[in-house]
Amino acid sequence: MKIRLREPTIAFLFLLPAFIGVIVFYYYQIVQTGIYSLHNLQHTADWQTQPFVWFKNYATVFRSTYFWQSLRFTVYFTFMATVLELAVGLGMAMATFWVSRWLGGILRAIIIMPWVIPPIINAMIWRWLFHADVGLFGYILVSLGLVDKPPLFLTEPMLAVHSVIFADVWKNSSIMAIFLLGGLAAIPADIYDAAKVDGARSWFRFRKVTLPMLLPTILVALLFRGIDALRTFDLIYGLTGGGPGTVTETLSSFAYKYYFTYGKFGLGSAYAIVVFAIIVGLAAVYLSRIRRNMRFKE
Amino acid sequence: MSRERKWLVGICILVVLATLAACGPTPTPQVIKEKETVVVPVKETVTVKETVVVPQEKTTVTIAYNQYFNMTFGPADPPIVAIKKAVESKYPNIKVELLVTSTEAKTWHDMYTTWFMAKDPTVDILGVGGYWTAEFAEAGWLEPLNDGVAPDVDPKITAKLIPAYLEAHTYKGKLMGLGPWWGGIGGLYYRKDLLEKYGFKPPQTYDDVVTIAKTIMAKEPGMTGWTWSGKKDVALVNRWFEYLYGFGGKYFDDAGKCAMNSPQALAALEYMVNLIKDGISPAEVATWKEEDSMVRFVSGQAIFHTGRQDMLFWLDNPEKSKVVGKWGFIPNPAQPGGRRSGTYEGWAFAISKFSDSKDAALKVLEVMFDFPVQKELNLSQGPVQAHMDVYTDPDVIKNNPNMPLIEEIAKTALAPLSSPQYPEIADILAEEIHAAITGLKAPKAALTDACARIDLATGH
Amino acid sequence: MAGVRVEGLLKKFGNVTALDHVSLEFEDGQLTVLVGPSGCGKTTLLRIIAGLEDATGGSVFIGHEAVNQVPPWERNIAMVFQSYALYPHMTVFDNIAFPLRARKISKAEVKQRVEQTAALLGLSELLQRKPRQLSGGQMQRVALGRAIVRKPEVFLMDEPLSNLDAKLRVEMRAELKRLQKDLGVTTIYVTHDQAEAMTMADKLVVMRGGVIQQMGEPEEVYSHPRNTFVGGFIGSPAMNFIRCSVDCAEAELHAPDFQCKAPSRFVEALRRRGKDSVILGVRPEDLKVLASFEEGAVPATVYISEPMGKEMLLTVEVGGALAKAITPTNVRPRIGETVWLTFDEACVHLFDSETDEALPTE
Repeated sequence: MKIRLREPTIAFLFLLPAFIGVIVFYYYQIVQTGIYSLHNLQHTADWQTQPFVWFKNYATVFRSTYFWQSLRFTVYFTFMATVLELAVGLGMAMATFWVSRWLGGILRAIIIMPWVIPPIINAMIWRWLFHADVGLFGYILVSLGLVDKPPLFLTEPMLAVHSVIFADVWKNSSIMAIFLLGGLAAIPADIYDAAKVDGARSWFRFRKVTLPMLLPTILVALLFRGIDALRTFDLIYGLTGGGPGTVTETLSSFAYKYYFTYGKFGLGSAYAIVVFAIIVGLAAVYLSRIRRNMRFKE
Repeated sequence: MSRERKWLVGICILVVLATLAACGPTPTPQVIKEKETVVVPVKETVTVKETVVVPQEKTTVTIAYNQYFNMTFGPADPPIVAIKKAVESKYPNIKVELLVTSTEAKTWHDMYTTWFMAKDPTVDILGVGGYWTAEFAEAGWLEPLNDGVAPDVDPKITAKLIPAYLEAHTYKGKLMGLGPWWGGIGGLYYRKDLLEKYGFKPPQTYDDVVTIAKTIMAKEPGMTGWTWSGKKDVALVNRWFEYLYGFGGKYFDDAGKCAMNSPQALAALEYMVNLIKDGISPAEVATWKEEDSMVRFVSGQAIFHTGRQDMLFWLDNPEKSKVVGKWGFIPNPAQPGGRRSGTYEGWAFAISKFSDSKDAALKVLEVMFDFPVQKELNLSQGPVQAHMDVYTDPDVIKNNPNMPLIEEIAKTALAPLSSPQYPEIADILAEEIHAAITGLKAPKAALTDACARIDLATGH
Repeated sequence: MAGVRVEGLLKKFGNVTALDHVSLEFEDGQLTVLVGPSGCGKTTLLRIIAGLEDATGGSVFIGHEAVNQVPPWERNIAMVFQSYALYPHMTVFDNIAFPLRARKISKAEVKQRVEQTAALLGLSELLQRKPRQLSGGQMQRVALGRAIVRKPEVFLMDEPLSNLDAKLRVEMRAELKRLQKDLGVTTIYVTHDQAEAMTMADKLVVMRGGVIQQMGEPEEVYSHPRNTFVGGFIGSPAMNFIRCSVDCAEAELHAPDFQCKAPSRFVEALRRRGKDSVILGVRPEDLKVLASFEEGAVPATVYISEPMGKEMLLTVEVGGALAKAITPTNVRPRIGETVWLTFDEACVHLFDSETDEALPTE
């Protein structure tokens, strides 16, 4: 007997090994973290022998004002950083796409640099630039006569928040640009030619042709960068250590601190699960909103 | 889109999302085994009158410490070389290996947590920060050295070690480690020339510091009054403890509840905040790590600086310092009723509960804290050491004429805050004290919040 | 309305010369077809006229204005692409309206003109669709609509029909030609398909290797190819070429297998030329296939016969070479059979065997 499979079924069978891999390597750990989060674990992960505390760890998470404060900061940071990264990255992509192949290669290499530097080194560079005594930015502002003495970039709350956003934009605009360069390359050259002959000047072309055709790429890039920004940790930690006070504390730092530094695996797991749920939730809302825009190419 | 495809796309999106999110801070203990050397037992067989002599197998003892073990800054071998030599001559069957850790304390600590979670038997002796012993001991990750169960350290060795420091590494009556191997103690550097010029004696109280700083700053424009490390970091917490005890406060009350919201503690924090408000300390202190904070003093632009004793060794070196011969170093001041206190940040050595060769490890540990290695250590790395005789040894004093100053400072060493929740407490204090000195929170609110959070963390 | 003129156009891509000093005039209101094999430079010429490529040398005039320095969006031209290049994110209406909107024409006028154009092209029902919901022929119409909606001075069409299936292509040819005549817009049309070129062109320009081979009305190019390339390229199946030696005294041509009288109109040229070889060209449709010998007929062996409805295409072997001939279907020789070929000397072409140029006639 010959078994006939419809295309979706075959596709599913092909995807199965990958699904199993994902389940083993990711979902298993998520389940494990979920189990941990229901126990009172201090300096041990042996949950069978430790007290089961229902949702007490979650109650601790939600009662913590620091958690809510860092949620606010993280969302603000994510929003600002991704929007600015999109603008800067789009500018960089547009500026390097239509140049000659030789020059384009060099420009792209320059663009990718900030992204290649490890976050912690990045943090050191920026600490130096923001330094009140010897920092470049303070020096420039003072020499331009804009301020009398260098601003305390990392100590004034408002300045600190935007300084870390600035540093993140510097670092991650490049990856946004690379994403968008890929999107630009996928637009057929004929379309630009058609628009030119149709009488569209560059701004009109950008607004009516390039941008809408880049939209699917932009939306996916925003999703990836957004999730990444929600999970930011090392750059900010290296720059401000979460300070002043807890003003630039990010969501991800909680899970890390409670888990690795304090040895409270139960509470740390609860933080991890909450952050996980927030990220998946935000991403799902985002995806459902943009879905219509993602499929004009079908 | 057909129904099936919708379904498939939905699954794919979910998988991608979950994968992305899961790459984030969902931590899972990992086993990191980086032991670099595998020791192959010697298998030479020598036939003598038909009797086969099998040489004894060597036991390998692995010490985890950072790269400074491979370095020397004076007329002696790097510590690892000194230890290897001493162990080899005394115990030919023990081989010592170094496992290099991070120099960054936080990373170093978290590395250990991971190893312990995985019950890794390869690491035998661990270099531990002074504050870690309580935490690791409470978790049951360290081998007690005086509980009557082998391995226990030879009393002849401990008798020669400075008792205050042994106490610092004792948790619930059990000695968890020997130290300090190397340590730092905070004290007050001051400009001797300027104080003499305006007729001041070295300050005894915190009020003295303010009076002296204000007077000199008024007459010497461009001078900064007092620099210290205020970055939201363990360095800030160290400074805070010095002010706390200097104003007569303490960590915990007798019931073990947080006592850092007492009137004395409040006075200490208000004093710190006022230093910045009154311009004696610049607002930048809130961004300074220790190495940032010393810059102005070293370049001759500050009257006072609080820091560890290690600056002593190069403040008179004209290549590194602009204040050659113009400085003095004294214990931190104290208000009446307070204790002149320097934060002790020492590195001790402990034996891992999961070690597979604890007896050999103990032997190595004893060699490390016996006089010959301790003296070599002082010559290669500088103070502070655990062994008493090091401080009076003529070679040591010849190499380091500041040893008497250090002895004086060492007397003010503050016993560390001993709690298994130390890392969390340190983070809470760093956040709240930093919020106060940057003006985000009133000192009283900061201390109230700090204590509430600390009591929650310690379960009081 | 305006004509287009190019003078001494040179275009190099690195070491490759795509256009080698091309000068041409496209007359006002006419449909000129640029035809040639791929890589002949016809598309490059079109793109230079559009302003999408810069010429290495030479000038382009639209009307009387030199436009070398004018960007494409300021040249009053419209272009239709082989891929249609429709904007995938816009509806049919928006696609057609795009050139008008780019010129900031009022909303009401845009609506009126788009609807008018859509009606003309039979697209009225499809205005709210996206390109992905259209068939190839419909997309083609939208591309056309986008070009004609703004009433340009010049239409440029780059292989506009080659993505359509054969039947639709033939229909669209006629429709396009009709449309062009109705609108009376100067049109430059690029194709590699000689049949399309023949049926549509007011004027035909045959190109090869960046050089114009021949220019003229389609019938003229067909009946008087200037060289063997044009002779072989225009007309399907291709012209048969046979290398012959020349006997000037007898005014005869000697092929390996046969000989024939040199057509009288060439005799003078052959004499003057004095060379002893020549290329004889005969179109398949001018070869007559006989079942039996006649005076002057040449024997040949049937190699393949392909019926094509009312005619039959025969491939025959003559003197070691293959030649094609079109015969009525009433002659049905079998493969391997011997047949006899004759041709009317009035339809014969002679080319110089060294330069491939056609010999002059009297």
